[in-house]
Amino acid sequence: MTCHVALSCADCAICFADSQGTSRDTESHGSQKIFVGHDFSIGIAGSGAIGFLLFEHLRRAVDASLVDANNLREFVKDFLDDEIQPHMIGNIQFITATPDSSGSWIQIYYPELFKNFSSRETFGSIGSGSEFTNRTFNHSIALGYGYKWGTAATSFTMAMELMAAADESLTVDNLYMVSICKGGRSYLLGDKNINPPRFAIQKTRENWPHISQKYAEIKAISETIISERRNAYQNVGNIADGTLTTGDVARLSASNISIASNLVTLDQKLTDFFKWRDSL
Amino acid sequence: MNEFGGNVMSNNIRAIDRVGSGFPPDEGERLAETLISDNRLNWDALDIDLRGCPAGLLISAFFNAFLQKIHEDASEHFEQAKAIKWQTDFPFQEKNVAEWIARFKPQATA
Repeated sequence: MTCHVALSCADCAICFADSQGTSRDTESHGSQKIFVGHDFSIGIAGSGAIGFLLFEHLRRAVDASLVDANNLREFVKDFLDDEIQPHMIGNIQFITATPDSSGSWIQIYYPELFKNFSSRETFGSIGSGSEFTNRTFNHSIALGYGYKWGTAATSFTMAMELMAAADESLTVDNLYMVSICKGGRSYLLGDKNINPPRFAIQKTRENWPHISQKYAEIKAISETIISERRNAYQNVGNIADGTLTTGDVARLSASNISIASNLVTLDQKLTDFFKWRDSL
Repeated sequence: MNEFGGNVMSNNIRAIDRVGSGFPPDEGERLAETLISDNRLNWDALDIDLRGCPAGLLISAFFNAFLQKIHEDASEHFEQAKAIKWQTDFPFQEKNVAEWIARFKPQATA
């Protein structure tokens, strides 16, 4: 089973994918479900055979500078026309992140239903876990603590929180691969147990132990923020029956300060990661 | 070794041996309780190793609950508890812990 969550921020897009591979009889972990080009990211849900073949084609095309964010959608549609039997088209879904001046970086493509990619959005999710992430996303907005347009740290944390909703549905795992598109570049990072990504460029494959080490700290900061938020929601919960105390408010304030401070730390860590990755 | 994996008269504690997977405030209290009930503990220059604990456990509520419990049940050790040296997996956690402990103000319990 699969889950992808993608969120735009003011000047970037963050895409998360689980790494669970499931067949009729077996379950495996560590599958690469995101491909990153120089300036784009594409995720697959459904048939691994179709998705991995696309990744092979994409890797060759990226190496030959034949595909970028501008022609990615046409590349995918041509690939389906040329390589995949029409009756198998329903077995694959795509989610992409490509730069957009309005800040809506995310598009989804269901080739079984549509001939073209969706309109641009700031949020998207595909795969079996998307039912849970979409509900969580909409529910959090309805309750007033949903996604706020912000920095890479805000989107990274929200995307991870949404992935946890799918993880808790028991259909996907929590070994994540993450792509970040920013400043005309795309970056791949993820769990050390997804090792090494088969369809990544050579520098990413060679440096995966270092990348996954840096990801571990980035993920830990994000987990701290998510846990602070959950604790804050629990503290404010007493308002439901009008029993909120000054102690609850004090704890809420402590969480608020901690979340703000850790979001700054996370943004700095992500900036450090981009600089380090660009220097390789 | 004592029952919690610490040395006799030790001031080196592995937190992961003393906490569970509950809510951070509950686990912070639990850590405090195990220290308070450990009569072989040397409270001077206490060193607590948080490495291996889930990042989501180590939030402000964990440390606030820890210090609050010490303040309520073993106030004679409160200043020593504030001076505990915490070892963490990542530098950002060390910075967080220092800030949370510096900001902590005991809540009135009466």
